[in-house]
Amino acid sequence: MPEAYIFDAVRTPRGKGRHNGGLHTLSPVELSAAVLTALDARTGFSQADPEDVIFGVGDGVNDQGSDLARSALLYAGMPESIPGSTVSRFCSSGLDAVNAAAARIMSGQGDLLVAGGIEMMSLIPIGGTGGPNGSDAIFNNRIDMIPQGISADLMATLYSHSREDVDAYAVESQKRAAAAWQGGRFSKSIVPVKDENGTVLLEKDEYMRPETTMETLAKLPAAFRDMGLKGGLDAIARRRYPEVLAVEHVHTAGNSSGIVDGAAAMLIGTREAGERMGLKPRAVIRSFANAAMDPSLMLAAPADATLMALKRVGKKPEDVDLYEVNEAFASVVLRFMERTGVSHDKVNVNGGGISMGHPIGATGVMITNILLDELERTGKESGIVTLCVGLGMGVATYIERVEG
Amino acid sequence: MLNIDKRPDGVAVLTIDTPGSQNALDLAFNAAFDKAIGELIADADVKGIVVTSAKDSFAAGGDLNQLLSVQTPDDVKAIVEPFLAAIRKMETGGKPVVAALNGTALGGGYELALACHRRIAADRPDALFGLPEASLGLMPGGGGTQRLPRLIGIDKAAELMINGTTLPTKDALAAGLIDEVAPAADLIEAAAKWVLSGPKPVQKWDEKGFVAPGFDPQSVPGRRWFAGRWAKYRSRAGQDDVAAAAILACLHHGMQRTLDAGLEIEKRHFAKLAASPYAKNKVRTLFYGPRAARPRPPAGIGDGIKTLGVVGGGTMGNGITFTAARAGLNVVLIDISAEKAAESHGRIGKIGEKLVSRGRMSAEQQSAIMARITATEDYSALKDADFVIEAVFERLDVKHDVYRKLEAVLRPEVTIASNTSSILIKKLASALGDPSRMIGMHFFAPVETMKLLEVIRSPETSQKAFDEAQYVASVMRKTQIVVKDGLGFYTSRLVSSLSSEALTLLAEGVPPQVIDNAMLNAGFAIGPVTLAELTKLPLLHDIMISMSGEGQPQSMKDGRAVEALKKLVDAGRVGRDGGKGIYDYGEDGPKLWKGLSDLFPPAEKPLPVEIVRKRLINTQSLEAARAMEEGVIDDPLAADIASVLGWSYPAHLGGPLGYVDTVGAKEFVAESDALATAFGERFAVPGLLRRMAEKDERFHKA
Repeated sequence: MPEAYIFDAVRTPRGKGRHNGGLHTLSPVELSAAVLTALDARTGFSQADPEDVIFGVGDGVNDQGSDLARSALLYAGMPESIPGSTVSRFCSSGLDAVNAAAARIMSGQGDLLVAGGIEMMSLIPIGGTGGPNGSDAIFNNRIDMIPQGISADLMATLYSHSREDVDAYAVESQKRAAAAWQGGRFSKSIVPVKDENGTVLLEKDEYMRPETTMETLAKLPAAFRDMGLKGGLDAIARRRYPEVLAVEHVHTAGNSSGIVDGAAAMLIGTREAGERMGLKPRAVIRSFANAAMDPSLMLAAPADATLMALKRVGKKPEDVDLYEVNEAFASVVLRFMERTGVSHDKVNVNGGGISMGHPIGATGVMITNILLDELERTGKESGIVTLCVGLGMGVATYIERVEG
Repeated sequence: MLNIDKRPDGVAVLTIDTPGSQNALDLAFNAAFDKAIGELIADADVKGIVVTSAKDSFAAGGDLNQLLSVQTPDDVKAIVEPFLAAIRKMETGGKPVVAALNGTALGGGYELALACHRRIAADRPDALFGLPEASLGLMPGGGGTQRLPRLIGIDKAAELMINGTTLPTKDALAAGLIDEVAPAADLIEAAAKWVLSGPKPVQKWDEKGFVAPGFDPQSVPGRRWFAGRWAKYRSRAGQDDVAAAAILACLHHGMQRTLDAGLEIEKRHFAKLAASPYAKNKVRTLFYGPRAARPRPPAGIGDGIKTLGVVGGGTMGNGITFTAARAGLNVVLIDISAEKAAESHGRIGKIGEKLVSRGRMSAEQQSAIMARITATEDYSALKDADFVIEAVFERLDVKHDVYRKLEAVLRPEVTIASNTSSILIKKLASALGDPSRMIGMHFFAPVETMKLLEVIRSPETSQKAFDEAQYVASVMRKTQIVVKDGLGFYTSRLVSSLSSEALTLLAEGVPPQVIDNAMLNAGFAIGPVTLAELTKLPLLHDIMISMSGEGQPQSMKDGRAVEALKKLVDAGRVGRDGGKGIYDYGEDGPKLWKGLSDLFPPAEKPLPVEIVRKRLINTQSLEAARAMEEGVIDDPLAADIASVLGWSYPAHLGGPLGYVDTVGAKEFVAESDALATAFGERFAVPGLLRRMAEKDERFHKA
């Protein structure tokens, strides 16, 4: 079986997901084209006849819809002979793009692909896609639909994560992100975003709040309390979890992932394809897995996906050097560490979605990129990337660093 | 059935007049209506049609009896399709049609009006308009879920339909349900005038490019609205109570399509819902049951009952006094001292004041009520009382003392009713020289809002006492069940059984919130643990002991309620009022008490919540069936509505006996046999149910 190597990766800084966010005035096709152009400048992939450009997009509607990957590469002036496609699995879409690309290579159905992702949450709010989830009453009845914020608070209740626990996690995420930026750990892969006049729109993740403390976080209101108590969603959570008397609402804007804009792209191929381009492989994608669980609790499947991906290569969690576990909500990571026994000094060592933001379709590629850079920086060998997903899923990918 | 007046000016007035006091829009009506409309549309002399009614109301909807008799979705379609077709033909026939709403138009009657091109109502403040089907577990099935939102937008239409709200004329006009109000005498002329003004005989939703008012279901606000509304209604409904979801689905999907496609979607959901046992259970327990349970005193029996005596100024006595005075009776309330009497008088005043402050009553009404009430410690004030209700402590000696005092002052023929919840009437009456004058009237708190009344006849109770109690019950607007004398009568027997099983589960180490949530998720408004500890735990302990002697209900045999309560009371847990019961109670509501697991260690292998639920639900049905078998209660519908009104048994499950029908007697007996094997003889199936299972019988007609 051919092996799928990561040759290079780039990502934009993450703009605030609001009307005054640094990337808000771009359109999704512009932002996607920018990141593809940046990757192309470093690798020349557009001239190497890639099999497909696969983009993860969480909410592919309106200007963010309709096969943005193909639209973006054409917009960027890349050869018309390059196909493009999008993949969507809510929050893990970017990692699914990486896995889809790797699968094509490992199955011999292509030797060079780009996997990327993009989300402009300042333009298309989360849940903008539609689908039955949330607005189809009969569907909601059948799955006892609760939105992810309530799922996160439910998880905290079931596993006794207090407000202090989740806030402490968030403080640490902010510290690590600030230190990583300060220490230049991201400089290899961050590409500043410019407009068509060459003006720099954004060159640094702007969502971070390095001055965050337990005191500042304690002031924030519980983000999901009203919808839980007044909106009836806590009562619905108790349908599947009758052991809960009251849902403890501990998640806030400060300990949940940030709403941001961003894009990323990664070049994946066979060793030979890389050689032809004069590129050295940086890591190999050894395995990946998907897992699913009860959609109400929703957020606990990263551990299952991780264990499955590791089982495929005969490994266990303690064998892995570094983890990127998407910080959808602080409880998600706390629970992951409880389930796998992995300690916090191996997990999200450079911060995560709580401090830097989680641009839904792009995150999976971004945190693979961050993991790769950190493995190289520290000389460590192996890493897991994993994300929790709406409607109760988890995706995980296992990579090993390669010495040239 | 229909009267047609073809006027010389070209206006045809079609007056609906079906047999009976209300216009019933049944199959016979549809056939006649369809034919008549077809002829009028084809008639070149007819410029337009006015549809009105010969009755006081316009039309109050479809025939519930017809709906109750359907078995399958196809049966339902056979009922609604002719109606839908007839009104669609009327709507698209090319002649303007106006509904002249001379009176109330609800349900199918309003849906007929919705298919008219205009709705003009008579200027009557007492007329009501709307689609109340959801309050009976149904949904509008005559096009209402599609036409109303196209008229007034999804948000407003949903609110009205899911809550089953009906609006009086003024509010209906403001909400857009009707277009115009005219003086009653001029109604037909106003309608004719509109016809003759040359209006377009086309609904705006049948015109090209029509966009309904309000948001698009697929817009972000639209999607958020649907998600939020679903959660709000779902959180209050039991697992199988899906009328609200069906209405939301019709709105969401129907409003993205043409009217005709939307009507198909509505028909599909309506057919499923109306054929379901859950809707039928609701119609039976919420509509037919309470009607059947109206007290029916013989004519004239109340002529001599003008002054009511009430003994005991506690919560019950005060509530009874207020409610009776509100109903127009003079009331003399007796309390143990002058101070207590004054306090009670004050508390009764507060009941009325609360209603006034909520706009439910005027200050004048409240004054009139208080003017009818006298509170005193002096029994001689009862010498002119025509009927007396005793509502003192649940203690035989205290009650006997009261009866002796009453005997000394009342006229000998005056009936004495006791508000006892569980002491045998025979025992109570034994202190009286004439036991036949005693009857049980078990009210529910708060008396001013709870409709349920349990009337208990001992074999000695005279017909006169019973008839007079009927009168008082009817004046107080109660919904009554009539039962025979026996330990716990019916309601206390059932509630004690439920509480006993809940406390037994607690003793076995099942967490209290699991016990409560198992029932909340099924649709009960209050969980059995929370319900049990509304009563002070030491008192509940005494009650459980009193239910444990001779005549103990089968459902409490080998239960562990007494054991559990003793442990709790010994640990200083008193119940909700004291802030410390099975739960801790604080400002933020109930919280888990950490010490509970010391008293009741969690079971090694936790019981599946489905088994918890079955134990709590089946125990009620088994005990109700035993009560039927013993003749304590003889009407299954009464047994069912008592539970719905008395302890919020979910109407869509049908009540304890309706539930057996819903599950099927065979299946229910098999389940209960399995429970008996696993958990004990208190789940023993009574012969009545076993025979029903063998013969595939039901308590209620299918």
